[in-house]
Amino acid sequence: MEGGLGEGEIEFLRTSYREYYYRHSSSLWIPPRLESREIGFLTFEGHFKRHMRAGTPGELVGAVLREVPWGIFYSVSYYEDPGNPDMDEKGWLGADLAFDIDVKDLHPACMDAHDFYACADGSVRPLSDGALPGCRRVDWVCPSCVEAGRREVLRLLDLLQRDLGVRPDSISIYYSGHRGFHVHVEDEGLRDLGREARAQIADYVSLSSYDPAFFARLLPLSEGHLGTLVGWPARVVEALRAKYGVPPTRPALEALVGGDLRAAIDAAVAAVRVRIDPQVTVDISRIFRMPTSLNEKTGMSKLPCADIIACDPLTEAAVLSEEPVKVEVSYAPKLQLKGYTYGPYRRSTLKLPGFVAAFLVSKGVAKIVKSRGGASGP
Amino acid sequence: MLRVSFGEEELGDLPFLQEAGDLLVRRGYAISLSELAGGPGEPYVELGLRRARAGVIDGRLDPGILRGAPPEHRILSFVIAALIVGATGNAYAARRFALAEARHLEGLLRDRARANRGDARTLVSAIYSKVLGMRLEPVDRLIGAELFEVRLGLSGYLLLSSSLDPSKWGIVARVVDGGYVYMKLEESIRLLREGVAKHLERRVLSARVTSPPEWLVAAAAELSRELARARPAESAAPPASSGEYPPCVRSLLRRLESGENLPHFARFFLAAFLVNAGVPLDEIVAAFSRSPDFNERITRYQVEHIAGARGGKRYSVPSCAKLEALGLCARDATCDGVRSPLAYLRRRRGGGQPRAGGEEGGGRPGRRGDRIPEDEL
Repeated sequence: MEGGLGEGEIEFLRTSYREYYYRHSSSLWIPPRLESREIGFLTFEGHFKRHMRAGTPGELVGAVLREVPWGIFYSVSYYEDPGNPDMDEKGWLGADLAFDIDVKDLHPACMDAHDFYACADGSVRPLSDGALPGCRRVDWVCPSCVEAGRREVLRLLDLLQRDLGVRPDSISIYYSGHRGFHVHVEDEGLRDLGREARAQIADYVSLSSYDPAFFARLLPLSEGHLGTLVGWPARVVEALRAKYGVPPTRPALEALVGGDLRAAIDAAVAAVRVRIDPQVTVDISRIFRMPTSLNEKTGMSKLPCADIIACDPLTEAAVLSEEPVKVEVSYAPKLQLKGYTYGPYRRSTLKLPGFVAAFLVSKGVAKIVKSRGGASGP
Repeated sequence: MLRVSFGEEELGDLPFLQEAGDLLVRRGYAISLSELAGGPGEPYVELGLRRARAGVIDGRLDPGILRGAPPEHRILSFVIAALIVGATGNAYAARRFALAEARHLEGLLRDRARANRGDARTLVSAIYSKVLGMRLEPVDRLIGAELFEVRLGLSGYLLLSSSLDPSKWGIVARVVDGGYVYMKLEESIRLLREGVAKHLERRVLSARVTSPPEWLVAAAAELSRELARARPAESAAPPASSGEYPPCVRSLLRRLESGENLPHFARFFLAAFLVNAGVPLDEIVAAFSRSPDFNERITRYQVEHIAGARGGKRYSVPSCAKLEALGLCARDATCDGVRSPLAYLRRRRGGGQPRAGGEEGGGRPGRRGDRIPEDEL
């Protein structure tokens, strides 16, 4: 949630979520090895209920329909006793390997154009003006954000498959329902890896602690050996080739950049590294948003993207009702959902499809306008 | 499983292999303890006693101890040493013995690699296969400007390298392709040491005899006494229960107390934190004395280096974000809003400064090339 929600807004969201979960009760995504997973619910009151367990899919769906949570989470780890509140007593059995790509970390140009600060006095400040006390940042989503995330996912997939040897059928990709993508790997060979080994993988993917000397050492003396490079060294060499326009052998590069080979490699690495949140990959006690559940930041679903190229999150993840709802919008940049453009709005009262209203309400920039009978909507 | 036949001399150096046990049977040695007639006085028993002591007390096995002994005596001395160490019931002693044996093997394999690379590569691959159940494949592959001789599957590599310095052994500093990590032969031998040490530690701890002979019980008791005398007083070390310390530090101190061999970066972080918290150097050295590969001289040197007492700069304490990224964060509710372990300490000490201080906002400790060498602390 972004910004405090009033009773009417919570009631609207709760009703919309209930309707979605009833309609999709038989098609909700169920975590594999459910009985060994910790389940967590974020309630509409803002409480986090962790350390729950569900023995069967029916139990999980029953709890969702009964409680209608604002967010539904499951552990990437498997435990002997997932319901035990003491993490040390849970009996860790292994964990999926998870990656989180947050578009915010990619700094696409669109972010400066649509993100903003909403201030308590009702004013709005562009991101470039910086934060002030009493103002909160509102993150927006647009097709360019999705494309930036998709490109990063494709780079991660290439690396997982070509370098780390992960089988494509053990990789699942999800749009987070907000402004990012999650990539999960269920591979028996990687399941038992502890935090330190996962930290190594996160470090490898993001090149966060690479040493330029490692790449410099591998640079061949002759052009004929450039083709023998694999993994990151091959990608770094490609970036060098693109920048300098010559086959980047060691002698050629040294002639071009003088003695500053390290700086050239640093620049090449910055161009090719995959930007993930390393803490997500390392933290095996973390609980993750459940695919097909709704994201409390937008009211959109965490969407499985079986085909990352064809996946259209801003259409497919807008799953709440299209039924028009009357809202009072304080400020909203342009929003593109399900192929239509909404806004920009400023101090507008209008009827919008339920999924658009849910997005704006979740962002804390719209209020539900109640009809005389007390119900929201037309 | 790789099919390799070992010579008898070779098996004397590989006493933990099944084939070594088979050799003893072929030579007519009883390998059940109850049938090991004689006890003290038998040359292999005496050798076993010295071998156990060398591993546990000295932390290293001097090759001279075994020189000249026939292969079957070298094998039996290992079995007896492992039984004595196992009978102490002391996990720290078991780790120290296992590490000394693994280092001894590493030395032998390095010698072998210098003498005959192809031969050594086959032997190292066989040990990976038989002891660790991992496939180390010979490759001879030129990648860029370097020739790599072997490759190991990613999960096996990660398992074996998890305690080593990530700046050298992290996969970010390796060529990784198709699920394999490429190495030089010597690197695979160094990595093998980690796996063999863990394997032997498990074996020693599970090597319990139901009714051990009196001489073995007496030898184990004497070894325990000598070990207790040799270790610095634990009471000198900072207590893991100190509420002033953040949970990540308490967790590492607890792991040290239990005799665990901490990963490289964990040791660096702990030492840097304690130094910056103003803990006296003697107490920090005492904390590391519980580490199975403890060497007081090297540890003291390294701690002084981190403290800047040797003319260099004092090392700063890594931030919480860095610890999280490295899997060392043990955050709990008491960490609320804290971004560095030293800030936690300050808060617990009532908002004042640590007794001496330095912390970083993120990034790696020290400069590249100013790194602490492996095997320190």
